[in-house]
Amino acid sequence: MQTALSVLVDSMLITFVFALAALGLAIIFGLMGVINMGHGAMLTLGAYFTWFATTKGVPFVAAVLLAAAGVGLIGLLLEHFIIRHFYDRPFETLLLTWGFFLISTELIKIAFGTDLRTVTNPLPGAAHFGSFVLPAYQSVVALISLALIVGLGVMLYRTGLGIKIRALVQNAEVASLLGLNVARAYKLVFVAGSAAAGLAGALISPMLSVDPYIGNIFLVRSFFVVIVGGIGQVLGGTLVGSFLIGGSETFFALFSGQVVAQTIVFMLAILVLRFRPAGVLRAQ
Amino acid sequence: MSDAGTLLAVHDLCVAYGRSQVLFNVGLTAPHRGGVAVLGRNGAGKTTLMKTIIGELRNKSGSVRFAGREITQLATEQRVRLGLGYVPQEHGVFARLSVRDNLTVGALGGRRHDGIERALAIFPKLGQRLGQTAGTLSGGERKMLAIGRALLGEPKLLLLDEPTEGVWVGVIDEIADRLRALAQEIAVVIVEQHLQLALSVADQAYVLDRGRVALVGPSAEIRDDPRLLQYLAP
Amino acid sequence: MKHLQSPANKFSRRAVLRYAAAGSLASLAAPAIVRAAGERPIKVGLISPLTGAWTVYGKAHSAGFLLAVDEINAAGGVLGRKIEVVVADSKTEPRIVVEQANRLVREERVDFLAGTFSSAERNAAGPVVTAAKKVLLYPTFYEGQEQKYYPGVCNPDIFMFGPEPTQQVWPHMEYMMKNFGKKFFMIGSDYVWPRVTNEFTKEKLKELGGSVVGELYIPFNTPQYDSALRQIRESKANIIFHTLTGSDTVNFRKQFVAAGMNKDFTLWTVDDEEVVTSGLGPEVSAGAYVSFDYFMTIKNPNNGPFLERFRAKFGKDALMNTVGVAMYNAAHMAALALTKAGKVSTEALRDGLRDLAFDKAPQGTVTMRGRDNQMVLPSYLMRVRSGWTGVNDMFEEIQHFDSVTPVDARCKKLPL
Repeated sequence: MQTALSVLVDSMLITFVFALAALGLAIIFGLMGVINMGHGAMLTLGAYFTWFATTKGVPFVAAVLLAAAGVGLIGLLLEHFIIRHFYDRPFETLLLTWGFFLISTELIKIAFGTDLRTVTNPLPGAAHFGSFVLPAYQSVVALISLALIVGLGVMLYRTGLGIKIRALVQNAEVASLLGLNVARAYKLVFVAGSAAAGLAGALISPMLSVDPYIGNIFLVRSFFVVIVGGIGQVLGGTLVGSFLIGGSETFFALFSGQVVAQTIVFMLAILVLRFRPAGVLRAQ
Repeated sequence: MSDAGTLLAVHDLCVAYGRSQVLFNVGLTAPHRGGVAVLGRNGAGKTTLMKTIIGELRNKSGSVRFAGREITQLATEQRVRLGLGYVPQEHGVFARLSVRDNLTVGALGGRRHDGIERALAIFPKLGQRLGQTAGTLSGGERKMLAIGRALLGEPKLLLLDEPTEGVWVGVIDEIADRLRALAQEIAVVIVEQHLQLALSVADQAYVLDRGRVALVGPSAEIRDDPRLLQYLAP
Repeated sequence: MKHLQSPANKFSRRAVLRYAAAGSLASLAAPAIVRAAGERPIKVGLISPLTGAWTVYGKAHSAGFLLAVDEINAAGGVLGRKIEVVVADSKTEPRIVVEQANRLVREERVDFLAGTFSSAERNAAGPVVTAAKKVLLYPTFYEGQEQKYYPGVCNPDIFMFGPEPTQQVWPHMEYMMKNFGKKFFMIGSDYVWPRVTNEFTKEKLKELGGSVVGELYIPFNTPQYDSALRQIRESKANIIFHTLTGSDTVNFRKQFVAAGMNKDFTLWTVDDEEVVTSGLGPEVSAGAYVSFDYFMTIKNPNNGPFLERFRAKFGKDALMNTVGVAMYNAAHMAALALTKAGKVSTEALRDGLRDLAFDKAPQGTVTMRGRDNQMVLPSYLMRVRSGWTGVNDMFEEIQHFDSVTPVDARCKKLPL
């Protein structure tokens, strides 16, 4: 019973961290249909901005917010000068965001060097409950992830802005007939997705080694999360996808080695794509 | 030249899709109040004219003036904010949004933020469907929703593309009543296959033939013009 | 030992650096070299992980070699000829290693090769050096030689300058078991170095009456360790024997400490040298045990002057480690071997290196064992101090052995 509980807690922690990492991609991909290959670089930038700010004496929370704002600003510039001219051409946006990834990775190396960097864990320690343990910081990150997803849900389903965005996503043509500023809404969504990626990179940075490739670890997994969860299913899809890609590994690892567990997970992902190409939550 | 009674003035309009020209030197005016019908067989250029007025298509030459202002350079949403409304022929509703959310989007786009009640006053049937997703509505209800939602934006002129297409015959009269009442208050430009309905809403009628204005005149005269059937025959 | 790749590398242009070795100032000062300058230089191909995920290691790796070459050339070169180094970037990818090794041999016509980093890289270079009849000097701590990995190991043309498990691990097992307990939990990256190192460790563990209560291999680039940490917690192990590499070692150890488990378990790593420990920071690394043949803080007459010269060339904050020192020894010992033979050829280098002792090594005196091309090295066990501020106070020595003779390589025939 104890083991079952602690496996459940572990898998929830992983699920929420993965969901956090994938959220920016899910927003941009799910709402706009833009395949943001620069997502990994945005995570990396968020982590480096946090590292840089904390080494300059900025308190951790402020550094995280600065990192999110900084990556959001980079997203704004990227959208304004490049991406917005290519919204009707998905393949071009894919290549352009890939280019952004390459360039920003090289710039990170030049600006911050290639040494291993570390962001000190702002909440060391863990809560012990019998045989299972809740690492304090990771638990807070999981809660923030949950809060972001709930908050995004409330925003999308309960506010005027959210209704506008959902309308726009379904039918930009009709939305513009109703006087909605489509270009501005796209810009808003792209910046929000970028800032979410920056925030995720910032929050993940104390758990991982900060190097120029930190975002890559999550990039492929994030794509699987979004695709398995279902393109356009920003909220439920991201959570279900994160559980299948991250959380379920914990269960498989009970019966097999880690390598086998990860392999099973990716095989399942491929099976999902084969038989439910629109994602787990979508019937067709 | 600007007539104080003219809200919309289309002048010498030419539109092409790539190399194939669809509209040739089309002119059309609409007053501040009352209906204008645009008739013609399939492919005559009626929808193209509508889409050019609202800004989804760009014209090659000619002008579109609305409320005394040249608008051919404006984006669609800017034209909408000036007071143009458009109910397209199909895909006019957000199928995955609820009826309430569909109406809310219309209200948000407009200048008056007094909610969705006015649309429900015009089409009371929608009131029973507020929680349903728009994709589950019948054809007639979808048209009501699209028209009601467009009206929430407080348009001075409403462009209607086939408002009764795909609508069950029993509901057509209800829509027609509302459109006639609407034409008493604002300008309505209606493209419609249903000839009697169109002419009952409109005071003035234009007949397009292969991209050109073939006939123009008061609805009563056009109705009796012997050439009308020739232009509408398939 | 590291083998990782990033998508970026596949697309960026192949970066090949040419290092113009030899100070011209030195040749002005020494007339003997001016005379020698007319001679064709001895060309060495250096394959280092200069870009890609493992640039952190590439710095010490190439720096150790280049420092030694500078010293050799400043002292007059080898047989009156200077050494010229052609540096090639492996990008930490075995595929690139094959390309670069071929290029260095065929186009640059180098006399011998040095470097490669992970076991996978070395194994990729094996067939190339055998076909080209060139010597490869390999610096990294590794899993030892076993016939089935020929020609990457058990190859008369490949010389191992780093320690293998019976040198790096075995000497310290008694101490660790006596002080912390006999139950080991093994966690490592999923490839040959951790798996074979653990096989050796288990062999000795059995002999000493210990047991393995868990063994876990983690795929590269795993971000989350919750389930691994739970398995460790439930195993009731005394010692976590750690062979994770690269960013995974950092990710695991950060989450290990975040879960508060460093208070309940003793962690012994055979991967995390100066560079990785610096990357971990004092909070995460404190209290861990680390074993290697070399640390920057070891005390002997050679190490201090060596670090002074190293810092003069590469900056006062530059980090050295076991791999960089092995590269340093490799260059000097190759020069000694060729000088001893009196000519430059693959046979001369191979024969000269066999049983060659080098008394200027930063570890003290080291010897290349002729039978299986394996270096005889010292072995140190260190504990990471809490609240360390830099490499100078990072490690506290627990015990050391001046010279550890490894077990014989498991090759089909010895001597090689």
